Amino acid sequence: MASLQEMAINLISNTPRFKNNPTALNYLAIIKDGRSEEGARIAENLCKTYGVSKEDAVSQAKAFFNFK
Amino acid sequence: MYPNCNLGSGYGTFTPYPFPTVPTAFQPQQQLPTYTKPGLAGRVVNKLDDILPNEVPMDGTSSLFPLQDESAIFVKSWNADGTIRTVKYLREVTDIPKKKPSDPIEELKNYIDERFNKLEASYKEVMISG
Repeated sequence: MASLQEMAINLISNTPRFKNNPTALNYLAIIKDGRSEEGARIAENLCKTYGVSKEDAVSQAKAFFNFK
Repeated sequence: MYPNCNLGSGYGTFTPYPFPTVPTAFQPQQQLPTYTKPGLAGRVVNKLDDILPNEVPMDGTSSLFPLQDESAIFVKSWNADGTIRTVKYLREVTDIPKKKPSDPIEELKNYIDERFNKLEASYKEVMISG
């Protein structure tokens, strides 16, 4: 079974509209390089910008990807 | 030859129509063009707080949000760190009526009028005081 990291890399890499998207490519590079602290900070900022808690964001992501 | 197909009782048989064969050797794979939304992203808003984060595209482009009263335009785009950058452009009024160049004759006339008015006022004062 693919790890979360591999899954995210595959998802971003194989989505055509992300190919010329600098934001997505930046996130892809962070995931590929395993820069977890930077990734966590971006995720926290995204939560803050969207006005959702970290817990809500995680549960929404789990629901989206059908995780239990 | 195409085999006859039996459709079950009551329907008889039919011979499938031979579809014309299309040479595929020189057919390049057609790539569908990527759809891009025409025009500028954004909308007219009453205040800054009306703008939601999902109205700002995450593809590196900016969205423009002019205020209803046309006093400013907010331009929003995502930063690489997951925050949104907001730039406010303020209106500059450029249609201020320019002051007409002064006419020297008109200026002289005004000066003389002013002097006469002062003289008249002084004369009246002298006459009243006796």
